[in-house]
Amino acid sequence: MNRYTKAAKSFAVALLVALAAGCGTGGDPKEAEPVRRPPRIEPDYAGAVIPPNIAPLNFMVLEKAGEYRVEVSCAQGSPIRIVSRKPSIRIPLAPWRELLARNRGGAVRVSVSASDETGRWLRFDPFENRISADSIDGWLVYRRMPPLYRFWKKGMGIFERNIQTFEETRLLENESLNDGCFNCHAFCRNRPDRWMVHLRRVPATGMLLTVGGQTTLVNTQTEFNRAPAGHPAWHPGGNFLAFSTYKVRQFFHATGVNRDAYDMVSDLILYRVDANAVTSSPALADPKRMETYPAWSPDGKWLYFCSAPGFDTSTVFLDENYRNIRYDLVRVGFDPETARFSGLETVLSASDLGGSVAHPRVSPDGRWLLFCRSGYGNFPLFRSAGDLVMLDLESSRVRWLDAVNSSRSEGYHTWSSNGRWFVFSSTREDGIHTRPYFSHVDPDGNASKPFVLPQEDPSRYEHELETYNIPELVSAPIPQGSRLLTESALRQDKGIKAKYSPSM
Amino acid sequence: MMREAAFFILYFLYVWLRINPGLHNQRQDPVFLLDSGFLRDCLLRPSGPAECVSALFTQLFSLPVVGALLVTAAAWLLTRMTCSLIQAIGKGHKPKVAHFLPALLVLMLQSLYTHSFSVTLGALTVVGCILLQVQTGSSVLLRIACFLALGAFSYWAAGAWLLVFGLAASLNEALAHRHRILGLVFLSVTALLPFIAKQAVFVLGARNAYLIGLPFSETYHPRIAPFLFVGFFPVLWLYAGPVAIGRLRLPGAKILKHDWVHFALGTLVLAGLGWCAASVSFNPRMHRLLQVDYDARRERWDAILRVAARDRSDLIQVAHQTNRALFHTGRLLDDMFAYPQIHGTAGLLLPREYGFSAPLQESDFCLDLGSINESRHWAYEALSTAGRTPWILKRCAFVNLAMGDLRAAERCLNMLDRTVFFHAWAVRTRRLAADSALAAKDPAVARARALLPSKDYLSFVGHPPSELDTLIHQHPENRMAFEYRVALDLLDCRLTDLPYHLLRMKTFQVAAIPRHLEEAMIAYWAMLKIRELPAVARLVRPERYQRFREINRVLTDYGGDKQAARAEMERRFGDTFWYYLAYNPTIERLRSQALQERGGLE
Repeated sequence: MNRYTKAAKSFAVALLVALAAGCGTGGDPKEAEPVRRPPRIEPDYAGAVIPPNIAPLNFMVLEKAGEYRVEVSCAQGSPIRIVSRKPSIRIPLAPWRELLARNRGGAVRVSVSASDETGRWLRFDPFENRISADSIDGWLVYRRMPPLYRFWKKGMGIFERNIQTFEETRLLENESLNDGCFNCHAFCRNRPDRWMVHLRRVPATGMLLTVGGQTTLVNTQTEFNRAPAGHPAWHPGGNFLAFSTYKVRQFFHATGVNRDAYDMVSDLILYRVDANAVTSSPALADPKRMETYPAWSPDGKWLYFCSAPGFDTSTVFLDENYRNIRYDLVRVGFDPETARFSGLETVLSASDLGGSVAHPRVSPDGRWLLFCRSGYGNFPLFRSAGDLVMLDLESSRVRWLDAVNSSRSEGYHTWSSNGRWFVFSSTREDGIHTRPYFSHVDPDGNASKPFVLPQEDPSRYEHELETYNIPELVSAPIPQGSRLLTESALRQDKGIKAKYSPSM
Repeated sequence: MMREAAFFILYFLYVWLRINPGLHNQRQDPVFLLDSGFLRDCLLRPSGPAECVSALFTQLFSLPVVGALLVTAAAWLLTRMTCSLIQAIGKGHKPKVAHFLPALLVLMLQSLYTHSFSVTLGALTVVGCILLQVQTGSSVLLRIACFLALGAFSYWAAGAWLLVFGLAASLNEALAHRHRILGLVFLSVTALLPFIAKQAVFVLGARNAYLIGLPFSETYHPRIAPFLFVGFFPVLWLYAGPVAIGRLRLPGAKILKHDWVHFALGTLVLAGLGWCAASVSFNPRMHRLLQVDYDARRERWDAILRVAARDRSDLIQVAHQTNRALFHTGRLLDDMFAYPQIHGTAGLLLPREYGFSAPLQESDFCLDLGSINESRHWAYEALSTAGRTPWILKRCAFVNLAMGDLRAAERCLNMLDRTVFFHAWAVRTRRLAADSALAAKDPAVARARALLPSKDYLSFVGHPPSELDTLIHQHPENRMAFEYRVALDLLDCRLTDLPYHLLRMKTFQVAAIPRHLEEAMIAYWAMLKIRELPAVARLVRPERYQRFREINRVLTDYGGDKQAARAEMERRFGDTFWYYLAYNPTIERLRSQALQERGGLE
């Protein structure tokens, strides 16, 4: 009996040790052989600068092994040890957060060991991430859906992701909204109390506008703009929204990136929230030019946008004329008191740039303007390579963000509220699916190697056939729940129609 | 019992051999993934469980015999449960024929290929709930508790079938328990429950909250069938209740007391109802279309040609797939006019609206044609409109693999691993992705890669002739592009390019000029009235000239009256280009064109 008790005790101790190892107290075997290279991992987080409030950077080890041991350590605090028989490495949330919080401005080091088929342990060179002292806005709002060409039906939604954890909330899904479409969504200075999302055929077409606690469906079509408004930009004061109104045509290539598109016509309009009125100005709607992608300066005194000369749409496919459509970056002065525009000027011409400008976004401190450069047109994500470029608004110097760009397309970026981070969409993984990437910007405008939005299941991107569109950083969660937003979108009878007012 | 067995054997055979559940799978191609996210989404919406199980079962429908077994099993279960229900509310009254009605209604609904099996599963769930409610004892409290629990469950599992449950439960209260107030309460709660669910639990619109899971659609034939199906169960109380308490006396009740008369009459009624249900609901046009589509997806080209020859369909999609089958069997330019070409070029190349409504079929066609990037485009259009169905995932994986976008291919294969039946395909394709030498040996991959465009051009929906010319220019060995280009000219009665087509034909080292091309050339020379035939005329087989002389003779016999000669012409020469040319409205256009371009051949 005594012997059995002893055996049971020994077994229990062994079990506890094994469990403890599994819970993160195990270590590398001492006889592990060094491999002299870092492990291959997916997503590639090695060397990225990360915010101190980001969720754990879970990853897959792409080295075949029977068992993996990972140590995540910093100068301060206890290391996190993970033992896994699967290559999927999931870092526990609480110790990770504690580690990052204690080591702001420091570095986090990740050491990986793996046992091969013979049971021999291999130790890879560790890789490091610098932990920035700058936090990032804690929530990210994006549209997630299958890669969209021309038609859609299922699986489109607007989601809010807490990027400090892995919690994802569905704000709107098109299956609840008659298979309609959502596109551009925008927040006023990264705040969740002033934002809008554009809806198409849900059954109504218009914008779902949230101001304060009130959500209203607004039909922005007026006698001036027959087409509904898109590509929104909130004036920092929160009472104006600049939009582009356009008619787009898609076409397809036989080689390379298949999709392509151009705006047949486009103008900018201004929507005044308190008056529910739409207006424009000759500077924003020149019949001889096409204006798109508005972006406000943080002081609200300038409206930046892209502008290209008009062209003959009947000959656009002759001799590849569409390749000659190139957008300049221009700006126009704005007086919020009178809502008048004046003093249109070119900031960066397409000919000087040697390409076309799209998606301008000014940093919250007003120093930098981040835009996307592509060979032609205004759809950089439909190019084989659309690159992010930083324009120093003080010196007017252009800075190519080599650390950020890939051989594929980048675009649809937004700044964090403190201006130290930006998030952007990139098709770098396979040319089809866009994923949100984050990059840190130092005070001199240097952007760091970006990292993809971490997921609880690190293999998620390897089987997910959806794209993440228009990632927007938000400082707090959106208070309106999915139900309220859905109901507001469906209640056409409670919606309002914007009126056209030549002057405000 | 014997009658029931015979009924369901016939039922099974009808579903298997006539309706063919494989075509439901073809039409619906439902998404079902062994993936926690997918299953969680299913369980978090009303009617989700029924839809999820239905999606799984409909995957099994790809084996028609299994599908027929499942449909029959569900119908049998529904019949048994209905029988029990009638006995429960009719105080032991044993139904003779009435309990078969839901099965017959299922048969009618199942004849519509967009009909979701989840409707039948929803009905099963709710009839089960009604049975439980009816059999709950005499305690009012217990009945209320049971009603609330089963009501909530039926809304979650089967959606708006809850309304049927609620109505049945309130009728049961009012008629069986004589508790009219409780019946009214049950009715009110039933009406409120979807609203409460919409307000407090699920995110869905008001219309959806009250209709989700029910089969109301105008596409059913007859339109009343879904209403009869849904309304059947509450109506049972109006039938079985009075029967049970002896108020309802059916005509001829005395005769019916004889068992054999009863059996014979019941069998006769059942057979008559079965025949009516089958004949009013079956849609042969849709069946044919889906059968052709089903065979095309599985590359059963001979089967398509058999269907096309037998049924002479006027559907444009059938014409398109028939022409595709003719190409794949090497007969397009020899036999295309043996099949209906009433749609002209639209039956050859997919018209715009067809591509939009059937993107995966457009992707298939583009792949055949060597337009790989467009094949990928349409595969992803299909993904956006129909979701992650196995066939769409297969196509996305394959085109990405063929284009060398291995990472994108791997993503699709990883998702395909989560499907029920396509894991093995994913494993095999992953091997091709990992080993370029192996991929190069795979005939499908090798063909697609060999035809990858070397230079960019713009693709437009409908594949205009210029696109086919570009494909041929970049890859003269692209036989499909070539044959379709020739067929396009033949269908358009545009014959001026025939000499160039003949020159291009040398690439393929054919033993003889295809029959329709010979016919077209003879017609062209005849229309131009050239006295001396060009050297190429020697390549045309003598029997072709002989046939042409015969057709002219027939026409002469009718005094040159084409319309009078039409019947005989169709009988003897209906499979020739000449017949198509003579009775095609574009002939006048051709004549003026030929006159303008006279001498083009010399």
